[in-house]
Amino acid sequence: MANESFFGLTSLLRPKKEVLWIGSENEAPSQSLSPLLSKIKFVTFNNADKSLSKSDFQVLVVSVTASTKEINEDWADKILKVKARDKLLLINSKSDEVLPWPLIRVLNLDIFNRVLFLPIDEAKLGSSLLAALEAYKSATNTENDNEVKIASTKVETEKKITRMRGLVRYVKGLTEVVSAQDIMRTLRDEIKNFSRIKEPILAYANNLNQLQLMFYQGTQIVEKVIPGAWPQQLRIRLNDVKDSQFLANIFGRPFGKLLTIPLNLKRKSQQESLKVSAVLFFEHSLNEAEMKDFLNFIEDRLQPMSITLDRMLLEHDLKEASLLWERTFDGLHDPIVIFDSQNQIIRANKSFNENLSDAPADLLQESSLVHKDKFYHTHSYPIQFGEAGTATHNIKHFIDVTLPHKLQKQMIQNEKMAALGHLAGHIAHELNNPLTGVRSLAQVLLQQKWDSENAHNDLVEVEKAAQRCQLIIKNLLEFSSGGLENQKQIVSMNEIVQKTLPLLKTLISKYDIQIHLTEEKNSVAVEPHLMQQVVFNIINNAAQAMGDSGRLEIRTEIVHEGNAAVALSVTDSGAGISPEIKNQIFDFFFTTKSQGQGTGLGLSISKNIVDSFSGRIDVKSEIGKGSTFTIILPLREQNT
Amino acid sequence: MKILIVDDEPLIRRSLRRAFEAKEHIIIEAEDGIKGLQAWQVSDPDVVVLDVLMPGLTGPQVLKEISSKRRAKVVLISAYTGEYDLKKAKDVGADLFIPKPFTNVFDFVTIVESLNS
Repeated sequence: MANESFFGLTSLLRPKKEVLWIGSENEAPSQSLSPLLSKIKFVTFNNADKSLSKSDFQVLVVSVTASTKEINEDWADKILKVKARDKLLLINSKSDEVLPWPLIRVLNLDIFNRVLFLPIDEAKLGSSLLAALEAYKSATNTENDNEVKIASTKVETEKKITRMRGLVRYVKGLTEVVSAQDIMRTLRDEIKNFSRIKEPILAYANNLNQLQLMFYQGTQIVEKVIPGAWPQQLRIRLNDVKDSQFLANIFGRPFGKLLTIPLNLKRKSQQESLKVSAVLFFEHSLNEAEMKDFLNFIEDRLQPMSITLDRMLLEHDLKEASLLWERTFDGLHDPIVIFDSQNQIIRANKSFNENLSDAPADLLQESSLVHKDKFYHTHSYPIQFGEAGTATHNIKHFIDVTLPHKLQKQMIQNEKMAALGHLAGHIAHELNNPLTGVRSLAQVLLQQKWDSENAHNDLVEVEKAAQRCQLIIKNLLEFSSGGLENQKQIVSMNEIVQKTLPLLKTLISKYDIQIHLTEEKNSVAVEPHLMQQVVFNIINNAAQAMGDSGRLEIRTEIVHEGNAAVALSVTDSGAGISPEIKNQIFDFFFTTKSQGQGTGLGLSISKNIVDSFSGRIDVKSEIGKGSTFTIILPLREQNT
Repeated sequence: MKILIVDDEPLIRRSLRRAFEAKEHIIIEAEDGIKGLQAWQVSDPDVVVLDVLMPGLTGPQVLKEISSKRRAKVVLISAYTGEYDLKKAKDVGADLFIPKPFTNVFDFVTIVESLNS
């Protein structure tokens, strides 16, 4: 591999070629090059201008040291104008010496079509050039005699065997590799005999615009994602300026001599447009012969290394894909489960494990189900693995419809209430006319003189009853049409309780009743009849919770929660309310009473009424011990 | 006074008749707007008690037919309190608006009597 294609020297040997050599004073080609000197014109930097302008040579050689100050952008411009077929830059540097930026900038201008690094400790440029020429000569010389041939064959064979052994050891080592980083480590171990090769830099493509770079930092392997375009050339490069620049940009330091080996992997990271899927960089300070050895050495190892890297990356991709699938599956909000053909669960996502893992198996096969207060619609998707003609698996997607379900229920209830309100209003209107008639007629009759005292008294009752009916209708109309705020009066809560209790007399007489009414003024702003209805409902509920016996406590007090408020609490010793239904007891039409016992409207209407007076109803309950309903309303000053 | 009562509810008409007659007023009844209009034209009452919502013609429609020719005072009565109030009733040409139900029918009589005094 290390042949003339890397070096521009052979062009120097072609006869009748004019060579212009520009170098430092002390670099003048030595006399031992005399056969060639006739072809070479040597000038120093200081007096090169004149020669350059002549432009009648075919090869231009510029020889500098790594620390040169003589070559800069101005020079680059001059050289660019020269029409020579070959332009060769010789850089004489110590091993490990990094190139200064001015020189790298010149290199970046891409004006030389050959750049050759020469180790400075091999001394004078002349002798170095001579060695190169000698090597070339012996490679092309076919006049070796047989003995030499045989001897060299023996040596060659032994070399070959050693080479194969090393290779086998390397391949064996690769079988134990489990990560791309391991590949780096093995590679470093392999090349440690080449003292002028630095640690390898390995990069593989994530895609066209992203490179995953691995390099050594001390003994640690560091991985780094490099965004942006990266070198995609397929050929092996030596000292490629663009590669040096690419790495210099990443590492923030100049890169000098560089061997770049592209690797073509099967895995292309889903990017068919990738020409190169991995690259191996070696920073080095090898001379020509060493480079030849190293290239031979590395060439043997490229294929097994590529295969291993390919395997690592494919495994990595597979893991990523699997992880992506799993994260997606678990990230879905709805429970999802995969059944096999025997309805056994193969996989279940996180939501399923959290919500439905303890649901009865047959329930999971239903089209909809209720579990732990949640409603689900089940969608089934049969799928087919392998070559079986029928579905081998069944995916069940449990769509959580708890919220829509609840909203729908609420909507139906709201509609029911609206319809009920409408109906109540209509009935009330229809009743108003005859009722006005009844009351008015009673009033007319009461103006007359009656012989029987009973008749007069009866008429008084009829008139009163009609009056009460009118009031009920009025309340009903106001309730169904809202507008309660306008009817508010300032009344004492104690008074409301005292007026309501007689209505419940027969219902509550069988209980042990304790009534504690506060002696403080406890006025509230309410519509008294509606408030009475609320108190009636709450006490009625308490009585029904107890059955035939129990203790009923009715208490009014002033409480202080920020502002002073009036509290009326009704405590029963009944069954209590289970926590599951505690949130539902104020819902429209919710009732635990048997058919005919309750409408499921009492508490919801009560809550509506109390809400409209800026109050609230609190509920405390303990199963088996009883419940306390507390109505809390803002305290108002009594008007005089 | 001669009072015309136009209302489609018999019990209202009857109770008003009984109350007004107790105070020795003369009562003419009509059970809908059209008959009410005819009775008005024929009998020339001092006061007309007119229900708002009736079959045939509504109270305000009857009022519109009579327009400026009338001599009688007009009391508009309605159970649909949201729709009419005193101002609206006066806008359509009535002298008084009384919402139904009445709490005391004799208060109603007294108010009507005061219209013509």
